[in-house]
Amino acid sequence: MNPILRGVIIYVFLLIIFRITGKRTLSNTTTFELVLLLIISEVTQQAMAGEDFSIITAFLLISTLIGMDLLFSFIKTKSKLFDEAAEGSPIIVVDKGKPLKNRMRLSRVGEEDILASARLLHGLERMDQIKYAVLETDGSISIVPFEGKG
Amino acid sequence: MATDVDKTEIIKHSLELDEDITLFKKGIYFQRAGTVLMFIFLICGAAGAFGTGPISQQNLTVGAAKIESEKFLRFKDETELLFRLQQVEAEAQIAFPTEYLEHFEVTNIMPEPISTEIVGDKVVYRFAANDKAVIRFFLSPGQTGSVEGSLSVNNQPVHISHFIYR
Repeated sequence: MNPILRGVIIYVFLLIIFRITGKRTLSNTTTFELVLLLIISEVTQQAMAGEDFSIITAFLLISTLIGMDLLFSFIKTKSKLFDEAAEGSPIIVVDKGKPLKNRMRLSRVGEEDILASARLLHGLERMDQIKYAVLETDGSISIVPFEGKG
Repeated sequence: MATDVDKTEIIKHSLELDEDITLFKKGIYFQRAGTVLMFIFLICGAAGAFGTGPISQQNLTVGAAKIESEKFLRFKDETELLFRLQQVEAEAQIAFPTEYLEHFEVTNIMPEPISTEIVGDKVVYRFAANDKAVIRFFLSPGQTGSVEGSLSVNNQPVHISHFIYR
């Protein structure tokens, strides 16, 4: 199969699989997830390049992947619907110190994750010091502390 | 009936944030459907729908001979075609249609045939045998799609088919 076509198929497959598994997948990158990421990249590399180790194939595949990314970024800027379908939208998971349990469960966000972000970003100690916690589209959690508590 | 997704909290907030709860809910449904599909894909894979598994195994019988092979193959992933022959006189003969072999590269044959020749549209392998013989062909699929052909084992025809995934 043509390497460009392989690159396109792999790109779209990865886009779908990471959309299916949710924002939190690989967002923290623990040691195990880093290893998992390396294994995924190795498997992907074999599926894309096969036994063709030529430089021209590498150039074609790199250009395909970056080209696809540029194309998708362009479409996202033009279509809000596509952007939201591909990336999702940010979602509030803590509102005025109160964890929104349903949203957290559906997004697979634990209270520990929110408190960890609160400690890391603002040195906060407790949930009631958080005005808003937002699960961003990249899977990270941003924290807005109550004024005077940050 | 309200699902757990419908119970998503609706809040008012002061953040300048493009939060879209409808899309969030749709995303959750998409994730759930996708997860189910992913597991169905994995179960099919484990069962052998994409090669190497119980439903991929095909056992054929022709006379006193048995042939074991895989129905679902993968491109460039070597497969084994095993012939268990019985009641063979001094020589066993296995013939493949050339059209069938065009889809494969024969990477190894065990034991080595005593002769190989092309007869019409068939490649005929002959093996020294004494009553029983176990012959293995190692094939590497070089083309994708459906492959079928009529092999012949000691001049008895047997139909074999495979599907080769990319």
